[in-house]
Parts: sequence; C-alpha cells; structure tokens
Amino acid sequence: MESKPGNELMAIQRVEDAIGNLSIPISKLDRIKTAVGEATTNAMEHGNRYQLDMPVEVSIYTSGASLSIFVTDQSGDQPIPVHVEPDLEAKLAGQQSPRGWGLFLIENMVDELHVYRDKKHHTVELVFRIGEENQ
Amino acid sequence: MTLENVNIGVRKINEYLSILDIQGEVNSYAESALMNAYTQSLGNLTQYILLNFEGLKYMNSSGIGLLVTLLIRVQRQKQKLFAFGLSEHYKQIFELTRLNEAIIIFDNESEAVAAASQN
Repeated sequence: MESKPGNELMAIQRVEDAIGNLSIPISKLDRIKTAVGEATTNAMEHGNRYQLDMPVEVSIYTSGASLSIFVTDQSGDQPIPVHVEPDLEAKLAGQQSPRGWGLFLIENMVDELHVYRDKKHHTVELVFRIGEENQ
Repeated sequence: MTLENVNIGVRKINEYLSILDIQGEVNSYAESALMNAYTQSLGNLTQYILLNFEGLKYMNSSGIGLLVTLLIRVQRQKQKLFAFGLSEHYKQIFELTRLNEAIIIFDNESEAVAAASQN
C-alpha cells in the first residue's frame, strides 16, 4: 500500500479480513490490530517518510498455532534510529516528548517481535500465538 | 480530504466538572479537536475533566501521546483527569503505559461523576 497518512487503518482492516476465519478471540484480535497499525505507521512514517512511491508491504503467514505478520518498508539502507524507552513520569516532567509510544505498544502486543534488514528493505515480523486460545 | 475523524462534545455538569464526549478516532489528527474541547470545558472553578471513551473507535500511539499532552496541561492547572467507557483493550493499554496512574479510570459516567463530586 502507499505510504500515506491514514493508510494504517486500511492495513488493519485487510489483516482483520484475512484472518477472519481463524476464530481468534477478540482480546487477541485487538492486540493484533494495534500492533499492525503501529507497525504500518512506523513503516510509512519513519521508514518511507510518507513518500507515496515507496510502498509498505504487509503479508500474513499462519502455521498451526502461530500467526506471523510481516510489515516491510524501503528503509534498509538507513541507520536504525535510537529507541528511547517511553517513561510517563519523564514525559509529564517535560524530559521526553509526549509521543514515542509506537514501538513500546508493538512490543507489548506481540508474543514475539523480529526485525530483518537487507540493503533495501526493513521488515518487522509480528508473531502471535493463536493455537492454544482456539482450542 | 481531512484525516480528522473525531467529534468531541463538551458537557459542563457543574462549575467544577466537565465531560468531554469522544466519538471516533483518537490519533494525531485529533489534537485540535481535543485541545479545543478542553479549552471549551474550562471555567474559573473547573477541577475535574472527565473523558468519555464510550464512543471511541480507535486510538493509536499518537493518541496516547495526545492524552499525555492533555494531562500535562490539566496538571499545570491543578485539575484532575478521569476517564470512563474504555474497552478492556484500551484499559490494558492505559495500564501498560501507566496512564492509569495519572488518569483515574471508572467503568461508567455515574461512578466518575460521583467520585469527582465527593472531593
């Protein structure tokens, strides 16, 4: 999809449609949707800098008890930005920006998070265990 | 095309307490709506701002950041921020971010109003 503000909602909807037959509990589905939205926003905003000609690709793989969602942007050749762990007290004290919750949310929504990179692409893999809750 | 997809109504319950009824999406595009609603909610004696999330469709990390910004403004005015109507998922996000330590969460409006009225 195009790197365009608001398109993360399209990504969320497409993922929800694609996994609709997996009977995933609503609590897990909410976590998946939040993680996909944040990962897609990061890919469009920080990875592709909202350049329309630089697409973000979202792909989904399931294997039994595991669901993997890959979100890929075109920023493989860019340095990895330094991640600052968000701290509410620091934010309220003006020592951190009020923003900067995206990666924190992703990390807390997924069961596993993997990051891959080649010379052109940067990919995050969001892994969710779905099997045990479906039994 | 606007990306702002939120409506925020303001109800002044009494001179100390106002409710912001949030309908739609809380993301970075909701900033002006939220801050304008907060400004409208203020009176000389306002002490409590209650955020009604019963109509919340979607909130992302930028929306969380927006709530932090609002919280900073509220605390500067020596006011308190309450919330009610959050789904279980967003309650969990409030806990993860520790927003629930600064914004007191209630299940419904009557409980939030009652708590504010007792102080």
